[in-house]
Amino acid sequence: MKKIDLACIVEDDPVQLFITRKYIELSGFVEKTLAYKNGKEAYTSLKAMFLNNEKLPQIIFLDLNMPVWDGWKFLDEFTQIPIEQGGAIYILTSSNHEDDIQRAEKYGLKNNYLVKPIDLSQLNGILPKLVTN
Amino acid sequence: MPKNELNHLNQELDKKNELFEYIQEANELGIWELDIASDKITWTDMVYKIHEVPKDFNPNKAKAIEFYHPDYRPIVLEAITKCSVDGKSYDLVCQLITAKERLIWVRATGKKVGDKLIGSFQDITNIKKSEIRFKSVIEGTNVGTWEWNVQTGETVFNERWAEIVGYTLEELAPVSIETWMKLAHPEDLKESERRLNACFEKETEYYKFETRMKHKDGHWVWVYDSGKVFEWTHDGKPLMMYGTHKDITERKLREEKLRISEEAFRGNFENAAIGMALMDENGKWLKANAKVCEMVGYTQEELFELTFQDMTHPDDLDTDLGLLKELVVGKRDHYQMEKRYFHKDGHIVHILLAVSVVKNKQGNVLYFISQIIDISNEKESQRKLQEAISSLQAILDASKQVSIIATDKEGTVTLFNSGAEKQLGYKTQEVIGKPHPELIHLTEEVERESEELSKKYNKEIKGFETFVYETKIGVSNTKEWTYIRKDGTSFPVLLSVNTIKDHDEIVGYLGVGTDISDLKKVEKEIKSLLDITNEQNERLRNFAHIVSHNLRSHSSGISGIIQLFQMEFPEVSKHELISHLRNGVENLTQTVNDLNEIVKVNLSQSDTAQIGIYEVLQKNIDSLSMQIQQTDIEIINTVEKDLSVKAIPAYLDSIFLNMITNAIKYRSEERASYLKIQANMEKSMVSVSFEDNGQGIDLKKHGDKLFGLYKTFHDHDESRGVGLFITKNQIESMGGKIAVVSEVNVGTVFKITLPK
Repeated sequence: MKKIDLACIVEDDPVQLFITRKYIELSGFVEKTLAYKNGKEAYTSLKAMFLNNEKLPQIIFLDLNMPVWDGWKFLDEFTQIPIEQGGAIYILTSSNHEDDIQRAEKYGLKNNYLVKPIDLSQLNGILPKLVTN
Repeated sequence: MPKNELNHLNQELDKKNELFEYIQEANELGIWELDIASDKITWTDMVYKIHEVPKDFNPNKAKAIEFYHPDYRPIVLEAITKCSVDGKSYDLVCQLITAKERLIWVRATGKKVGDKLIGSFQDITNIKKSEIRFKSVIEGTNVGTWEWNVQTGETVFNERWAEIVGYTLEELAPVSIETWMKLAHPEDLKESERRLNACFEKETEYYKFETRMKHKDGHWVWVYDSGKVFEWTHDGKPLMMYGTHKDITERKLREEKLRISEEAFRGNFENAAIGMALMDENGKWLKANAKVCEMVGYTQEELFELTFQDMTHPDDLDTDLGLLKELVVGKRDHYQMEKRYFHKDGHIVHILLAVSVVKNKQGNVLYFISQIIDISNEKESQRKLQEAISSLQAILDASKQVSIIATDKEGTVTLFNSGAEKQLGYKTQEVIGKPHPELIHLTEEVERESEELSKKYNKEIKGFETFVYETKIGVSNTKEWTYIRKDGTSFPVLLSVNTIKDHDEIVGYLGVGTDISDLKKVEKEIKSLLDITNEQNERLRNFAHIVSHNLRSHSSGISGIIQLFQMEFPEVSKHELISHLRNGVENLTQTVNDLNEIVKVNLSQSDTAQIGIYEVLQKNIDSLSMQIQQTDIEIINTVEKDLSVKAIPAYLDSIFLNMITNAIKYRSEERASYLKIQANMEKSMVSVSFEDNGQGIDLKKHGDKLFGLYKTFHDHDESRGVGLFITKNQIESMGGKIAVVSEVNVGTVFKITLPK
């Protein structure tokens, strides 16, 4: 089975990080998963990888409420990087607030909006599409 | 000649002589005869008698001439001489002194017959006397005389006749009837002719006419022309007419003046703009012009039956009568007063009365002359003005809470009401005449406003203009200002500035200031309340954030861990403790979701829109079609398609969904279920009712808690007690209402009312 080489989780809450990472693991579609504690840390590392011509994650699970840089800030900055073939970004948040959903739409992520807790069936609906791509 | 014929002739001659003598006797006519050669004179008896000489007197020419009055002797002598020499007859009227020394008038005629002069001699003293008398009458009455031969047109005028029109007879000569015609006024000729004809036709005996004649100077002279026909022709035509002219110019002028003044008076009286009346000494109306009648509503006839006392207001009568008395006794010659009459209708007429008195030579009152002016309108205007002034004053005085300050165009205070006194602590007399803004305004505030206005209107506006500029150009001018009291303290006012106009010209400004200290205080309080509310809202928002994010985050974490745990350790998961844990987490998650929904209702700021009821209902019915089929409930939507309400779309959707799912959830299993949805217009609202035949709710037991949070009334797995709470909140946040009627085991009707 073909797998996703690299996934990325941006999440400050260790419990959530654990759960997400565990499900990704359980899904069995992903080779390797990176994790960052906030938007800034994720941006800095990913940009460095880009500049080093390293392979970037094919999927990023992005939490919204985080210290230092929140998810929005990360989106603002990360989308500035001229990546030719960018991976998919999924917002994964505990907020089901209408305001947040609408805001996500502005980044074209309305359909990439997942509410915690994520479960295996959700992942199974997303990941295989990325593999075939 | 035969003898008897001669006898007969002699008899005839005797007869003739007798007759002649008789005639002489009867006419007192004497005959005289003068022999020219011898100067011998023969007289008849009558001549002797006239001379009052005895029969034996022997007259001759010289003696005869001696009898004449010395003035006439040369005339007589000349006449006799001329007659003797030239044969020229004469006819003289002379004065003669008789032998008894009486002065008499005689008429003497003479005629040459052969070598003799023969003449008549007649005593005409009586005739002459009457002629003189007649003449002196004529001269005394200063009349002009005329004689007119109607048939020939010959006329004779005396000097006076000519004098009346400024001529002498000589100047007028030769006179004829034409002379009169030329001098007479052309307009009078026709009437003159008519009257003359009346005489000629013997319709009247005397001709009388007042006519005008042209004076030599060019003016017209009035003449009283009178005359009579004295002689008629044998066939009855007028022959001689005699008459007189009397100069009546003066009388005529006097008459004319009188007539003019009378007419003027009458015109004045009748058509006067004011009322005029004459009254007798008892106050009875003698004469009243139309104006008086108009004022009091009586006709002249009605008025003449009344006295002024009858019509005078009793309160004014004594004064009037008192003044009238003074007039009668001569203390004054006129008086003037304001008084009241009663109109015929009964209403009061205010008049201004001026009375004067006319007395006869004996000093008795003939009548009073009253001039009456109706001043009812003035009185009414005066009363209204007084009323307006009073009420204005009352407003000014009553406005204790409002300061009213008027200024002239330059800003000098002209009025300062009691409210201003009270608010500002100045006395009126302290501020009248003082410049207004400096006194009671904050300099910085005026300068700030001045700057703003200057900028706004792009021209320099400062000082007093700052307050009135906008008023002057017609912009409504009500602004907040700060007033400074006399003691230096200040307070906020809402000041309206208006113009004071006199016939469209601005003459000043009126500033009405309301003390808004209390208002300001309240405003401040409201503001702080608002702050508190905002703060609380903010906290609620934070709470909502905690609920929607943090709580959810944690609960989702826990449930995620449990799921993973179950996957990792399936056998341990069957432990009862784990399943309790799992239920607990599920409940927690659900509660968090509910709370989230509730908070959303209160914080949401979605806009309302006009929404069609039918479509929203149908959409929900469609989305629930699976459940509807499964539960076999009949949904009857009878709502008219064009009915709409003003609502927040998401709320309306949620409300209807809740209503329909409730009806499905709490349907009765004992009968065929239905839900009937109807809508009605009610004034500005639309009511939508949901009627089911489900299990019903015991309202006696639960009525007051029906819409409370976490209240459930059914022993039902799915009932959580959140739906109605949220529904009610949503409806009320849109300005609507929800009511319920229900009976256990019969059914429930929810009636939702929303604004149109």
